[in-house]
Amino acid sequence: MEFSIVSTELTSKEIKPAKGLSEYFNLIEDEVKKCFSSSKLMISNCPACQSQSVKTDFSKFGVKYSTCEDCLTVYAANRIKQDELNKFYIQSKARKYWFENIWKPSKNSRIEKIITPLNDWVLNFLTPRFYDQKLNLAEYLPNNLTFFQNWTRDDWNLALVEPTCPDIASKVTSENIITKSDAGKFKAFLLFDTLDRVENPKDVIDWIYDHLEEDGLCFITGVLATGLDNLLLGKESKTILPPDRLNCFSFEGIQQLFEKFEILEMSTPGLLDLENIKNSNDLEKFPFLNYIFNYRKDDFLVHKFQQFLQENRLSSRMRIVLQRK
Amino acid sequence: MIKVGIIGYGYMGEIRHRAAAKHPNLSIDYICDVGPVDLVCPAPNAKIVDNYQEVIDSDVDLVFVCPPNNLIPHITIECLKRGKHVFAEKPPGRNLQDIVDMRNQEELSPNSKLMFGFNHRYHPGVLRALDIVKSERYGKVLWVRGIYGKSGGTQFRDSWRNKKEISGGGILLDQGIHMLDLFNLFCGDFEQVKSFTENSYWGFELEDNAFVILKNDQGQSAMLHSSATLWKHKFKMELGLERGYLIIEGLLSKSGSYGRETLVVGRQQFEDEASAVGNPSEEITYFDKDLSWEIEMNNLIDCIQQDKPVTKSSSLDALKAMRIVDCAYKNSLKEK
Repeated sequence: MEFSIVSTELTSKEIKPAKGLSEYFNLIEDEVKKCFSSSKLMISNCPACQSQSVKTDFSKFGVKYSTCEDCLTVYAANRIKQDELNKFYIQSKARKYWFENIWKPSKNSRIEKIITPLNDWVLNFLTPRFYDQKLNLAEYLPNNLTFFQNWTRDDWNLALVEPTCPDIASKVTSENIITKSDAGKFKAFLLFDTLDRVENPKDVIDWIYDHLEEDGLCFITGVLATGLDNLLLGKESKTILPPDRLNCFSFEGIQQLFEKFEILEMSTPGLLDLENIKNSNDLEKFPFLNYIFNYRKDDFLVHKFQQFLQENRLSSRMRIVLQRK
Repeated sequence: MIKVGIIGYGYMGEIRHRAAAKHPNLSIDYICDVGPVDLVCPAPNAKIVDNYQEVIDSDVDLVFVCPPNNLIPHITIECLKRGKHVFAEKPPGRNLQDIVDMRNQEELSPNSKLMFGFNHRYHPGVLRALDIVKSERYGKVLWVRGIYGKSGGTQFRDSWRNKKEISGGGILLDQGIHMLDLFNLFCGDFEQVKSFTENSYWGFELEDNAFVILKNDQGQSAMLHSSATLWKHKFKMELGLERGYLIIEGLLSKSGSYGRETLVVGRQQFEDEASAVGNPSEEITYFDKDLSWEIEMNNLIDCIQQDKPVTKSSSLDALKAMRIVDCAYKNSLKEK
């Protein structure tokens, strides 16, 4: 399988302005505690490899996270059903706050540095394979419309399968919105950070497989538990938060979901692992990194180190392209 | 089943044998070399011979012509005369007349397929770059620049490649022709050719360095440095596009000496974007699978079995590449 690295300049501040973040965390914590505390659904199998050899690690917002001892996937043991999760995203005040106070101020940076590269990534795979064809693609369970609104191939139809964005009807025509039960077959599915927040990732992958045309592609992004920042920070990681990260797969674990597919690309083109560690309260627990940030103070070194993580697929941001066998 | 003969069991003959052995519709019936043949993979039905005429006279359907350059035209023409399909290595002979002669026979042998071994067209980085260029997502190609070179090769001093009567030319003909073929692939024909060729280091009668500049009627320019004095082996091809650039570097090869094959895709940056102009975001893809030999083989067999014309790595492609080499040598002589 091939992999890619990217050299975009990116800082957390560009996409998550500090002003508003702590209020967002307070709001989401309240909502998750209310929603998940009554949850009767407890899973003990790893969502990646189905192993039951786990250790309970930590709690966040009342959600218990376990680490699979076999594949190192980190996952929420108590979770709610998928339709409750969908409702959560549609109705969440914290999500609305995020949209107004985090997303809007960083919109231009997000489009330039996240959405446009995503668009290029998808097209660089689809265009050579299906250049002359009229394609139907679908974003599966998207919880925001940024990609949809910035999609550049007007002649290829992009639909939204059960979007969980608030006020969707005012922003998207109904012909672009479909339910799972009405969905036909598509040439490509886009799952942008979707597997991380679904109740049952295996069910999702099986559904995708059944609804992909022959040779169809599936594009997946998400966060890896085996990325440097998540492995080092563990429960202090600001990335592993419910409900967005109920499933934080390991590099090895997630591949076990894809038996029916050929993996064309598996990359970890993350740019923020080192920055996340530097900005954590735990930097002093890692003397080597503390030395790099506070004594060497060499931006080029940090840049090369992050590049090393990408080249060796040790960053926590992952992207995968699957082809239906 | 297509019966196959391989003439010349050196470096390329072995590679063709491996690729043919993987194809379910091919049976290796003859392997020919003047030296001892040490099979690189099983060929239970193959008759091992040391006289290529035996292969030409046999009932094989397809011949892989992999001998030194001076023998390629004659063997190819004789095979075509007998109605066989031919896959011939590059370069297509020693000079322009050789490829013209082969094409003349090809025209007289309409039932035979003729393909040449411009294998680099099928490397993963090249295929991906070609797709991006064809899609015009980053606009049209403005220019191309290539560096392709090695430090010589195994037993280079004694190699037939350095004897003009056998090879016909030096590093430009031997290896640089791959890059010239890629220039044609990405840009179309080049009408203007300027060059310098040098015998800088090795002291043979043939060039060990060639610097070639090309221009076509669409205003696209290309530049090649072909070298047998690159102590660190290098393959690098850069394409400047209207709204971005592509860099193919490294080659997945048997020796691995050209480094890991990568493709850099960069977009033109605009003043209103946050990143510094002149230092655009890039994406670098690392390829780990070289299916070029199999893709090439499948193309050839597909043409034979479906009776389709050869449109990739055809004799016309070979002619175009050889024209540039011919012009480059003549131009270089004029400059001297």
